[in-house]
Amino acid sequence: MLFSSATFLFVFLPLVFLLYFVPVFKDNKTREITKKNLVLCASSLVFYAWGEPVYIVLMLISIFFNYTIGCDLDRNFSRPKTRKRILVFAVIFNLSVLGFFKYYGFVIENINHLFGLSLTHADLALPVGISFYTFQALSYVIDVYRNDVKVQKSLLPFALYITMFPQLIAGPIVQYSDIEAQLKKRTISVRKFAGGVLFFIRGLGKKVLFANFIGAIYTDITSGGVSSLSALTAWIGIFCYTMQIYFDFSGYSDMAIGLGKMFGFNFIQNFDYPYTASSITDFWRRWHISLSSWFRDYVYIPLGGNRKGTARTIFNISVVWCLTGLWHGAAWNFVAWGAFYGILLILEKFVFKSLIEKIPMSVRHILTMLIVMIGWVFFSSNSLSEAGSYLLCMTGFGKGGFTDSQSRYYLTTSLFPMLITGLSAFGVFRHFPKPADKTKRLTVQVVGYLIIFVFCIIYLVSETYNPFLYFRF
Amino acid sequence: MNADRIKELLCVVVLVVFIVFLSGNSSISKASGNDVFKAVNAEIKISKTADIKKCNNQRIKKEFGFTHNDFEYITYYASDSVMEVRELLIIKLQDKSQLDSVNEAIEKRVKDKAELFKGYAPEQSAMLEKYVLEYKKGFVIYAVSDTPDKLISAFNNAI
Amino acid sequence: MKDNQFTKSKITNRVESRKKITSIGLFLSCAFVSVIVLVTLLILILPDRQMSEKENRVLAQKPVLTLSSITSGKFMTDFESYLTDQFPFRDQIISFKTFVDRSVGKKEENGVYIGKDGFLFEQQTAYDKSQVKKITSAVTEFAEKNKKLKKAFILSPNSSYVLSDLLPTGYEPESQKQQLDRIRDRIEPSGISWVDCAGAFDARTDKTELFYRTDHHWTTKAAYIAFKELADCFKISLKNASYKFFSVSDSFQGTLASSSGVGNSTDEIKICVPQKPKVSYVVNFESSSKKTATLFDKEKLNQKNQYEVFLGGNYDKVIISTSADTDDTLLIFKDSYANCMLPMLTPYFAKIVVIDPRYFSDSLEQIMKSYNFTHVLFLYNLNTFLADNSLVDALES
Repeated sequence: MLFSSATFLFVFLPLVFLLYFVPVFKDNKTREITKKNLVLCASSLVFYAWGEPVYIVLMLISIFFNYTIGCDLDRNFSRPKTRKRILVFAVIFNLSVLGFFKYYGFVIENINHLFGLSLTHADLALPVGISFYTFQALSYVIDVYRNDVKVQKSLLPFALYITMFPQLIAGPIVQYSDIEAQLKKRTISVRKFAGGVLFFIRGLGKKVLFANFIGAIYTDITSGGVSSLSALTAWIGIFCYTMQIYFDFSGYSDMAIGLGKMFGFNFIQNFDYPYTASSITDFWRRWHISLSSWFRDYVYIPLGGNRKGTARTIFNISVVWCLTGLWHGAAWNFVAWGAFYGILLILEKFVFKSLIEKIPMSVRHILTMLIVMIGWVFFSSNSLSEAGSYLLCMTGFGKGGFTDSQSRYYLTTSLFPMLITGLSAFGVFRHFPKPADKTKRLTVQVVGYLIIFVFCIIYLVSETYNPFLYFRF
Repeated sequence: MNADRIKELLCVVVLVVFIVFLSGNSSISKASGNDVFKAVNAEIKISKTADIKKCNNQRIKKEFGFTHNDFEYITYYASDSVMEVRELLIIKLQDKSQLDSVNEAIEKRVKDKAELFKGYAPEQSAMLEKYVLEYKKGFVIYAVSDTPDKLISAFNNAI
Repeated sequence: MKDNQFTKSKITNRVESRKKITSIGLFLSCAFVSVIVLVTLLILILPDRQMSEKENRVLAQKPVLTLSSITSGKFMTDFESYLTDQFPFRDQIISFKTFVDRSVGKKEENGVYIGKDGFLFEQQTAYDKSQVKKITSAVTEFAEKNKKLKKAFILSPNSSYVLSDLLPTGYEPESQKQQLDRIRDRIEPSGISWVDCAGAFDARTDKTELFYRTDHHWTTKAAYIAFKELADCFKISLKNASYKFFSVSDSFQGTLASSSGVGNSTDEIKICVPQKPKVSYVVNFESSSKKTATLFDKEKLNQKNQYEVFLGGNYDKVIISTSADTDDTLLIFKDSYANCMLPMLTPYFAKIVVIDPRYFSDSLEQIMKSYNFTHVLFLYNLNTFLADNSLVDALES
């Protein structure tokens, strides 16, 4: 189920609210929180099963397995060797599941290609959210192993941690340590709920009004093949994609954070105006923060981080970024996209460090943005060769030349949406003067958000086809 | 072996069974084409629907571009009348590599047909929109009918 | 003393403002929840609709809950389309959305371009060389086989060519003139007369009267211009002929309005009836075993797609027998552009057999044998012609 679907908004959500907020055990706080957890966990399973009825089995296996591993690690508290074996077993299990469902076909096809074989493979659909929940489970197991968190002895809170529907299918990737306490005790208040509503509506607006609208332009531009685009059209196209992917993904994260707040949870922020970054390092501090922190905490630092000399640091960065690319999808263009960033980060850190500091700030912003947009070309294409021909068009040496009637058409019809999305992604509206009085400011905000909500509903109904981009991960 | 180990291994076993079950759908069923047709026909009684009759191999060739010898089994029921869109096609593939081209041909045909009725014959368009195209264990079923859900379950049960 | 009072008032101020913030929060929470619940209630209360007039399609109904429909996920997708299809005030919501889209500069809606003066334009079909080659060689082959017949080809350009001034700024589709010329070059050598519609339309000053604003068809007036050109080709003298135009509707909103959801203009439909020479005729719709004495279906003016007033829609084969004082018989291969021209042809042929290859599944050979045709006419518009995949089959049947 998608947050931006009629079923979610008008059937699922009201029902969950009803069951969750109407108290059953008024005098017993422990029982009431257990009931709330149960409602949330059960509805999350329904939420998942709604889109993936069969793969719910896989998720239950993962929950039960990782829960047991936690208990097992705890029982062997004083036997470090056994603990290590258990950890290795758990990591292998989780990665094999992920590997089988996500990368099996990719690996077989590459083997076939390399050795001229024709091995067949069952093409199973990718279970939605598997990359997200596997990573969450791994973070729990590793943290328990490192004694960073206490083991979770009851199944329900653990199941809730893995399944919780707000972040189930598109993140943010919540680390167990961030949420451990909240599973037992959390404040639910009108103010927090209202804050959640604001977050949710902002996210919904980003997704439905901005991402879908601007994304349609990109789809339109690339629908007729990319080899004969003129340079201007190609740049308009990739600009639109740049905006689409940001609003789509950060919108989804905002909705997740908002829903979490409504139910009393605090999730970490996942995006911090990434397109205002002044360097690639800065960009990755602001883009999909929960994923970067996961790789930092569970891959980069365990490998030795930057403490083992330059050569080792370069190696570590390369590993992390190839994995980051691969995490986004089982195809070479994603690996190329990851490697692209890996190389840039290494260059930034070791080669151009002093040079970059001399460049004026505004130029650094523009350069970063250009690099990010070029990165999205790899990301958005279906194959490496398609990315190559798109890049060629962007240089103006493609078949399409520099400008043509198509680019003029897109420029005249799409200028306004491009401006609006661009300005808000670059954070220009943040700096607008606001009423000094807090209540006045809030009133304006609330009224504005309610109008946005109504517009979202209108656009949702008008679009019968509304796929969510981040699904293939 | 302690209880946790047993549970962990149990998870592994269940996972393997689950994967085998999923991949099971890619094996080939032993059911004969005729049995499958009979089971589906029992549900929608297409052989007894007015105007609809079994089509010969030339007609299949014309409508879908399929040569009947390429398949282990193929049967096609349709009407000569233009406004009758109900039809049923059941194929047993010789091997799974045929699936893509078969799906492609059928989808193209549905699209062409839908284009024909679009904005002109709403009932026919609606029925065409609910067309069924399923693959299971070597069998392909394509049908346009009043009761697509029942038809699929009959098809699945027969295989 | 003073200080103390000051802090006190500061504290009460802060408490006040906290209270206010909480009440704003309460308002927002209530508003959010009540919008959701209100919509849910409306969906439950309002009766389900069967058909959408506006979208001209059957709406999704409540899906049936079965075990297999759940495990396959079909129930869930059906449920979502049920909700969005039966959404309260769906039609109004969609109109509002297209209005907003246009306010922010969007000039395209569902493959329809929104032009000036209320004109909507269909997206042009791409010119596919091999496809054109396939169709034109089937046509020329047919011409070679039937050397004795008088043959003519009407291929009308579409409004995006004729009214290119009214296209949305910046949208410059490929010129249909060149495409038409290329097709003409392939067809003419085989002895088929080419009726130069594009030329005739280009010469007009009243171009906006040649196409509907909200529909992809040409108007009866445009058909009449093409008919006069055709008469030249067939050596039919129109010296003493007189035709009269009647307006039958001014509330027509065609397919382009439907698929774009833009509905702020309407069109007038005129029909053209030959006055002199006056003939009577019988129209035989063989496949639906129906006979009428008219080529118009007034009933269709009460439905959404009023263009079907001409011929009552599209049929695989229609046979028109007239009382015209001639032995000439005409075979037409056509798309729906022909429907409004048929009445103009009746005074000059004893029999007219109209074949719409898209729906045609008989044998052409049989038909050629049973009628002694003297004339053959191909009548298409360029968009349909370029996308056609049935004419070849019909000609070879």
